[in-house]
Amino acid sequence: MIKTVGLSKRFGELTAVDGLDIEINEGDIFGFIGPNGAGKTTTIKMLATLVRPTDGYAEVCGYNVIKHVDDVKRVIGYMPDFFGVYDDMKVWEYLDFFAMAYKIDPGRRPRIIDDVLELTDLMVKKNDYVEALSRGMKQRLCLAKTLVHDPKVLLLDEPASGLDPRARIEMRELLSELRRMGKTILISSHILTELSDFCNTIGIIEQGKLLVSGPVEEIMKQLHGARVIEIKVKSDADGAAAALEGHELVERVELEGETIRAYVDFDLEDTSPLMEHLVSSGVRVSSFAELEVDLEDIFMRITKGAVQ
Amino acid sequence: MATRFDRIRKTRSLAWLLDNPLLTREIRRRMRGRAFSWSLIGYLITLGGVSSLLMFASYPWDADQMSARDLLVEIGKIGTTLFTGMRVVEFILAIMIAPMLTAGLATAEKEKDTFDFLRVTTLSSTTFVVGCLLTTACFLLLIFACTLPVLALTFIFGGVSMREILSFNATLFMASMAISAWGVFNSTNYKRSKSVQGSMVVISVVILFMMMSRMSGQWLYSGIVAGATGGTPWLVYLGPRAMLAFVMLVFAVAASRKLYEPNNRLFNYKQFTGFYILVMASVGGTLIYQMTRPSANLMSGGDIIAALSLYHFVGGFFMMGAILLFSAGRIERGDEVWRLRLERPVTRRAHETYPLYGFYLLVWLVPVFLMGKLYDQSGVFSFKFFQSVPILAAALGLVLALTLGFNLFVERRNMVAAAVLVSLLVLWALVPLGGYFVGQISPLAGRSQSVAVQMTSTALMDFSPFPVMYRIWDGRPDVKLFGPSATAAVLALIALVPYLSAGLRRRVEVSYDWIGPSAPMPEKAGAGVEL
Repeated sequence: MIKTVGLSKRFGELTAVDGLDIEINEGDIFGFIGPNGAGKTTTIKMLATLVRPTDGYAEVCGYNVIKHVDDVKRVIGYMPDFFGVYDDMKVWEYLDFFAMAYKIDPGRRPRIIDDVLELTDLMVKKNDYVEALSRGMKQRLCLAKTLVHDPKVLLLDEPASGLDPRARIEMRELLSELRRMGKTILISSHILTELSDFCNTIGIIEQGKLLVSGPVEEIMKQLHGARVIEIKVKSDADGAAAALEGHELVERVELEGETIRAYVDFDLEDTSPLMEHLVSSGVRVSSFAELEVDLEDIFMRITKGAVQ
Repeated sequence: MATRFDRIRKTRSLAWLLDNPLLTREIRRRMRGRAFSWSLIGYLITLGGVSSLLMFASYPWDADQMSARDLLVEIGKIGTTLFTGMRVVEFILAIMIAPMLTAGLATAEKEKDTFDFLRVTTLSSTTFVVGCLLTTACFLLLIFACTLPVLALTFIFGGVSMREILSFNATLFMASMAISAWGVFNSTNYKRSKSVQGSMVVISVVILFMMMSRMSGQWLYSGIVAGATGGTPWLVYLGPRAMLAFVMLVFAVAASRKLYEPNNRLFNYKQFTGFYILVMASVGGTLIYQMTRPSANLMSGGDIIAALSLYHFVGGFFMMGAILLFSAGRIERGDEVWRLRLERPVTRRAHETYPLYGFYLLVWLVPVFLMGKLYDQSGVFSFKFFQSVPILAAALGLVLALTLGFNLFVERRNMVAAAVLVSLLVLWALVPLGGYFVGQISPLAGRSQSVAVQMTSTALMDFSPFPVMYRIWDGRPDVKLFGPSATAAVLALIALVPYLSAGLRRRVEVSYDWIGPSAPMPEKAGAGVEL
């Protein structure tokens, strides 16, 4: 659905995006991760036809972002990281305005407006003035506006920035609903917990360069090459570590106080033999769990800058 | 899989022009604010104040020593003076206001971070610019309509022809549109609204200065219009407006090219400025020519006859048209209210228009009193206001029908409404035409023509369809002239109806069901739920 080859953007001396290669398939939720100023917004704007690439190629749904601007606009829904609203407009009028801008037939607009308001849980606010909405509601309204022409691809730039925890959770649920509806979503964020249980593919960008891209599982495998099992014992941690080191499934063991980290093959599905081995060796195990490696961990390992 | 997008309709018709998101949005937003109402009232007070001063300054205080004929000539002079003064004031105000309506539209989008929203939609830059210009056109037409009752003061006294008023308003409209297009163009170049507005103030002042400078205006007029055409009269009327339309188009095209891609370079900015000032100054020259040329005075025309029965007929027809239009709007039985399928509150709520009614009333009281006094003194006409009641009914029916028809056609694409609207307009055009032919073949044709010749030089008789009606019924000696008050009443009603209908639409908005709320209405939205 989205493909870029060597996509670059330079603003004078500054290279905002440098030779970006991304491929996002239909139905994918692509988490675009990077620190502030990494080039996420510029990339999204290039895909949304708002910024013209200096070099390279990009297409959305098979439409070239330079040559087929109108076609691209019809298939994408773009939500910027920072946006304003029009004063003196009601919620439904706001959506009606965009429906009109997308040349949607007047007879179908009311139904569509109701649909998107229903989806974004703003139906009760239909007749309220836009400026009276809370930040979280405005964000959802913006998403409703983005959906008004039923786009196949959503380009969401920091959709949850500035939201309180509750609004953030609501936004996440909304995005999950969109995923279920089969939308292809490119979502950028620098708050990684937002994306970790949501995206199936990610791309990490820093200083305009894509450091890594692909399915989350694959990236984790590439980074660690192994899964980590964290074991806590009541006593004799050294003995337990020695028992694990000799086991055929274990590749490496790290000991830290009463906590042992055993590295096993990434594709190993059943770790119960390890537990059995420990128990049969007389080790008193108090906890045995696989250590979740999250996006934050991946991000910190790959990038050099700071993440917020 | 068919998506909504696949079914998006591509319209290439008049509906496309009116289904403009920017136009709809601006009308919705601006009409809600109090600022517009108050600025309109301020504008009218200025205009009314100047006209009152002019009226008193040119009033024949020694009327009792004049002959009837001299008195009528003096009355005509009041009208001419009023019209001249009001034209100047209206021109200055319109030229200052028009660019302000559009100057900040594009820059405001950038300032509010909404511009990217627009750019990412399929809204073309042309549609945006057209929307800006349509917005200006709507507001200008509203301003002009509200100005008409004040401008129509001249009809009481006569001395100004309808053609002059129409010609002036058309030119002023085009000039305002052209300068407004320049405002849009500037707003595509600048980043901040205040910069655009500042630049437009400077430009307006320069243009006004050039136009008000009689020497440059007259010179440019004679050099460009009269000189080039040998003084062909129709070019005097057509020339400036055609030029202004051209200027408007040039700026609109330039603005649409530059809106999304500000780096597009079409023409040198200075070329635009020089060209524009030249054109505007020549228009100013034409206007000054119009203002300074001798106007026709009211002439004594003997007994002038009016066709009361025809007015009754026309009034009834228009009323029927209005009822038809209401029916076409499908009055429905809702939960609590009778519902009428109209939407989009174009006007203010009724109670907020009371100051305007008061203003109109004040402006009208004194002139009507003075005119009645003068006509009575002349011994030629007697002024009986009640005689204009049938005409009031006709005018009310017409404007109501037109307003509703327009709304139903534009908003609802209602073909019945469109048909009624067209038939009303055809009738409006056919009645005088038919009357003209009847006048030609009637036994009184000779007399009617002689009256017509006398009447063409008077202002009020030029106002279709009334003049022809006078001709037809020329044989009746007992009916006195009441044209001035009727004409004025029509104009006043045209201006008042949008405000009166605000109350109606307030009711209608409640039940607007295809896009608006059914119930309950929010308190702050300005929409009442009670009938």
